[in-house]
Amino acid sequence: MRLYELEERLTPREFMRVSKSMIINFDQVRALQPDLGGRMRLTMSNGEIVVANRQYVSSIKAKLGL
Amino acid sequence: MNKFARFISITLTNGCYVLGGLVLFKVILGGSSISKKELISLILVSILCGALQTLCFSGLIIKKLAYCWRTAIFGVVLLAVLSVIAVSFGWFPANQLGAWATFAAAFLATLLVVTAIFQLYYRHRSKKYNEQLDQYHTKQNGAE
Repeated sequence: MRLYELEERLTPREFMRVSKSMIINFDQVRALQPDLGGRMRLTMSNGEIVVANRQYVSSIKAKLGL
Repeated sequence: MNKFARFISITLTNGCYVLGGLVLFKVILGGSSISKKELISLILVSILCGALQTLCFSGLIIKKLAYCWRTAIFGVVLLAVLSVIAVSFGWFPANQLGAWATFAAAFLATLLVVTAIFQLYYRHRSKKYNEQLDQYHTKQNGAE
């Protein structure tokens, strides 16, 4: 299964694509921080820091109503 | 767009902002005209500064480095570049230590102010994002 197929299946369940190779569960995001080059750093509930690429930041902002 | 094209595009954009800022600064200092030599030096500074900004802060070339180290590298290299341009274009008497001290102090002050402004901006944006995230989680928990 390709990542975009997985993304289509999981989007209704609060999962979203943040980079070419990563889908995250947005419910598990605990903190957000702007990063260089228009990217965004997401701190997950397990302490892991994930960097969302520029092209996916707009969908995160749209989700938050920004 | 490939990496090189993006590098050039971001450099030119940053360069334009820098050139605009420098010309505005010149006008504020009371300059009613600008000589060809001055203009060439300002354009050169703008392009080099733009390239350095892209290199240090865009994430395109240097991918994983803390912001403070990026600022330090940027500051040191930019000071060296500006020193060469200052001597080449005769911005001030190069044989006077006092002139160099003033130049370095002005550079450091500007760098600190600009860094502080960016830090405040990032903190403000961070706060706003996290407020929205908290509201989002509250709404989601309420919906469940």
